[in-house]
Amino acid sequence: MANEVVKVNSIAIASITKINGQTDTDLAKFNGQEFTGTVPYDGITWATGATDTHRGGHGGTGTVEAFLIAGGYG
Amino acid sequence: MGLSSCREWTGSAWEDGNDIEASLGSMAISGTRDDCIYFGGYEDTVGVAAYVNRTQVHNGSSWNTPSSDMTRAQSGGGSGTSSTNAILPCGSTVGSNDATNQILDGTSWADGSDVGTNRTEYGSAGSSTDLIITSGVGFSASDEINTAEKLDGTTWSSITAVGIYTRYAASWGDGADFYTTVGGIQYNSPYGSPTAHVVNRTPKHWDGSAWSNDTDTPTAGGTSGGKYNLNRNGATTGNSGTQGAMVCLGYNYTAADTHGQQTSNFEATW
Repeated sequence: MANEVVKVNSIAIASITKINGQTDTDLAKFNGQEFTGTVPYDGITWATGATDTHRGGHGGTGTVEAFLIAGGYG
Repeated sequence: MGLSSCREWTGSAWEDGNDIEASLGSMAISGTRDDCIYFGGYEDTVGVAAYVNRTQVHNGSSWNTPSSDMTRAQSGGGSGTSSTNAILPCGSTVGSNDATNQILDGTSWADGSDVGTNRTEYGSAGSSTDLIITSGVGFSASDEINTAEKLDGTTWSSITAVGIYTRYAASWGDGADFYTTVGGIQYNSPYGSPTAHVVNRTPKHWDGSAWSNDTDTPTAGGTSGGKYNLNRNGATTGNSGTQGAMVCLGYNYTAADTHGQQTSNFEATW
């Protein structure tokens, strides 16, 4: 694959377990390139958003940046 | 009475969306804010009180009628990845219940295979090919159940029980090795006496092989922190942690037969 890093400082990728003390699981990106490995799940961080008029039993879908709720019971 | 109104979250504020075509609740929604479909539910308005097979597609600015509705009126849960990939696994239907899942794969709904334990008001997340359902009200048990099942595209199989007897939770995940269910209520005795209702505050997370407790929901909106009757889905399948999910409105429960109407909304990232 073009541009694929196979060595760092002449050491094969497969032989490297840490870079500057950081393991793969500690690093999300290296020089702007994302690792293909998975980042371990570390649990939910909660934040409180803006309030809205009460409803329950509604449908909802989306993300924290773009969400939609519809129907339900007032 | 059911509601027909729609609200859209921009990341910093709630705005009015266009109304859906009927006043109904308990429907599922699949997809993203700007490419989603609602399906099924319970219509509750003057002169009408019934499970419905309604569907409508949202394109980011308006709700439109697709080429086909579901094959049967049903409500109970559901999930999916877009306006053309959705599944309603099982649930309540007119005068009875139905264990046959209904799948939208493209433009038409078709029947899939029966779930192992027919239930309603359960948690669900995933797609028509990878889906997990949890807890809810079992029709055979006539009470909340704590079991979980997984669909691999064609066959349902039991996975480890989620361990909480609950209904009206929110849920999200990819339906394979990532699933989270949040909140919900176990009614126990009517009106919470002599045995109090139990409202869950601690989410349960499935990593593909086991359940674990996740971070408790915030206490805002209720002293116990537990919440129920939340949005049926919290997020679309495959959301990354930074995209997150939302738990919106619903109720809290603070003491015997004391239910508070929530106006709070919570953002979950991971």
